[in-house]
Amino acid sequence: MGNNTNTFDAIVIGSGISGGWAAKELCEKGLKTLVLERGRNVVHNKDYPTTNMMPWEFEHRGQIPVDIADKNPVVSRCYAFREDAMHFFVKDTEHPYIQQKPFDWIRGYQVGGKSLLWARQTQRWSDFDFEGPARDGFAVDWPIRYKDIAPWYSYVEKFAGISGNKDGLDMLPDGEFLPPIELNDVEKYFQNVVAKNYNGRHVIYGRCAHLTEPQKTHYDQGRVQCQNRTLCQRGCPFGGYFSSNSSTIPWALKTGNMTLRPYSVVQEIIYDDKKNKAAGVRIIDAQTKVVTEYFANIIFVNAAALNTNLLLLNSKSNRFPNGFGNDNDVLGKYVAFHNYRAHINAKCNDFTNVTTEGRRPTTAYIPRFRNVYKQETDFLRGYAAGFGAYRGIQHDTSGFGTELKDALASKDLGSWYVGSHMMGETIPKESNYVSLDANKKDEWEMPLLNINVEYDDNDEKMVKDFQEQMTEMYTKAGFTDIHVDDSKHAPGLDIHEWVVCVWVKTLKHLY
Amino acid sequence: MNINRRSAIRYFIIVGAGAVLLPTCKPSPKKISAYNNISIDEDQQAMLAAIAETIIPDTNTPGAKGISAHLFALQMLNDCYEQKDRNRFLTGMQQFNKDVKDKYKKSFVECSPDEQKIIVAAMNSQKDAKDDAAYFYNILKGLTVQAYTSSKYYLTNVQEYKLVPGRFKSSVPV
Repeated sequence: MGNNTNTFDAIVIGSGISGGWAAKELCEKGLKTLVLERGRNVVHNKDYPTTNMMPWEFEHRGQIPVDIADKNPVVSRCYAFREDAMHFFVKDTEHPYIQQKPFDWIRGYQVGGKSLLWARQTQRWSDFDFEGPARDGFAVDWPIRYKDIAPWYSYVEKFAGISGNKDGLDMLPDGEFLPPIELNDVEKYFQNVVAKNYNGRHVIYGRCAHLTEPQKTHYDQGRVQCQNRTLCQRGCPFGGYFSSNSSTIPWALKTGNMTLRPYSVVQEIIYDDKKNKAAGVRIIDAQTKVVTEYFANIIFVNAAALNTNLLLLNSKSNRFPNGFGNDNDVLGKYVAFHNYRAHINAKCNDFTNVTTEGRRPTTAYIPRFRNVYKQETDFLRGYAAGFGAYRGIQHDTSGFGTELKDALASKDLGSWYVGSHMMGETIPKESNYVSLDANKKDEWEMPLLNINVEYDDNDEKMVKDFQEQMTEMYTKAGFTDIHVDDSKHAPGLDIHEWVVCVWVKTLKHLY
Repeated sequence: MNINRRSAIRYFIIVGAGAVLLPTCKPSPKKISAYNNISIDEDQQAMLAAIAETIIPDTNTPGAKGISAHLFALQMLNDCYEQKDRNRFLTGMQQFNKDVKDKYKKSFVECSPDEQKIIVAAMNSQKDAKDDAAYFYNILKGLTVQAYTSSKYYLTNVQEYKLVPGRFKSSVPV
């Protein structure tokens, strides 16, 4: 076994949202905890290089130069991969993987991971979600129900700070909410139209991890009220939204129990045959390539869905020759994700006497309304949707000279526009899987990940249903110029992949 | 930003010197070295500046010239456009230059302000998407408008950008 300096009470692999939480909880309980992060350190308020830059200070006004985009086509398809935040994204060229089928794998390798970049939406699951597999018979039943997780939702929400409205909906349970940011007039109008015309369909304020009215626990973290900058992806100097960097990591650090080790690529979880449990991890330093082993009684793998599978598959021992905990050969299989392909935009010709002022970091939300109480469509499960209405100054740029210059100085408002995008649940299937490549390795001696994930007929039907249902709802609201689209982008771009087997099958061996 | 400022200073020196030197002798124009993906010489750069200035003129407030819109346009063209689009822009620029010289027997820069306005007005109403000169003009106009509307001057004095807006108001009467 290792020497004292390499032995801890607990090891946490990854420092994104869940790794940050694991670090906080373990450290608070007095456990000496080693947090391993494969990327560089990003210290809150110190390592946000673009956070206070004005628009004109960006050489390309936010646009990604074409040589970077050409070399990194996958990450360049991500909406947030822009000049102001590109340093928080993994470039395709730096960390290759193998797309057996097209898959846009969006990653953030740094302390805080993608918690710096997330869209900060925090809706609770309901029993309709937990009971989905049991009811429609597809995939294994969840081992827990809403009542098991509800207190933990509350626990997390209070610390993170969730802005929301108590809507009393059974398909979207209420939580511990800070005040909501009000919906604008057109969103409220649509809310009423939908409520009047449909049973079980609701347009609500989307619950999100923003401090609209910070409490003591947030001030204690060094965070203050969200200033509606909507520049979250740069890292927030106010700690206005929840990230590991602004919240859990500094909290864990303050206990004196956390050792944070950036540039630590975990290659393998070491299995101890005598103790019949995981004993530690082997890491390679991303910069020096020096290999080190660390040991602990508790190991948390928080490396995000696909990399967690990569790590477990690569953790081979006599006990687990096919990867850690992989007795039944399901590790890496049943990859599920979100389907964000469909959008619907339109114009609202009313409400010309009102507008909004300032910016807002969130929008309205339409909780899932399909197959909630019973199976009612020819596809399984359903979709939620984002919804927002916007009005801005509209310039006529058709002219030139002083006429154009005057037009650009105009404060005349254009029409209201509305937009919505689907967030479809995909069903976990064995045929959607990741595996280790037999030959190719990266420069840290890790096998490259083969990704074999695609949409199926269920997803196609859901896209169509979203388009039809939303068109009907828009039409009832009198919106015009309705435009539906299907971006047909590859899976992955939703940045919401998850893998069922990980938590079910392997947890018991890690404690 | 440093490169832009240097280029801007160089540009103003060149125009100043050019006004004196042009009538007597005319050396072949110097290539601009700031751009690795596009071949632009000083005369062409001066022409772009003059077109941009006609699109958004300096009045009692800064326009394209005041914010060096043409340098932003060149930077964007160099960094953010595909090679085939850069090439088409340059082809269109040469076409534009030739058309002006054929018609006016002088360069766009040498044309009077009224002549420049007539030329730009014609380009501005040009609808032929296949025409390279129109492509060139439309890209330059788009980048000039972008340079202006994202400039410090514009976002401070014309349509104020607030880095920290604070409160969001969901309903404000118009």
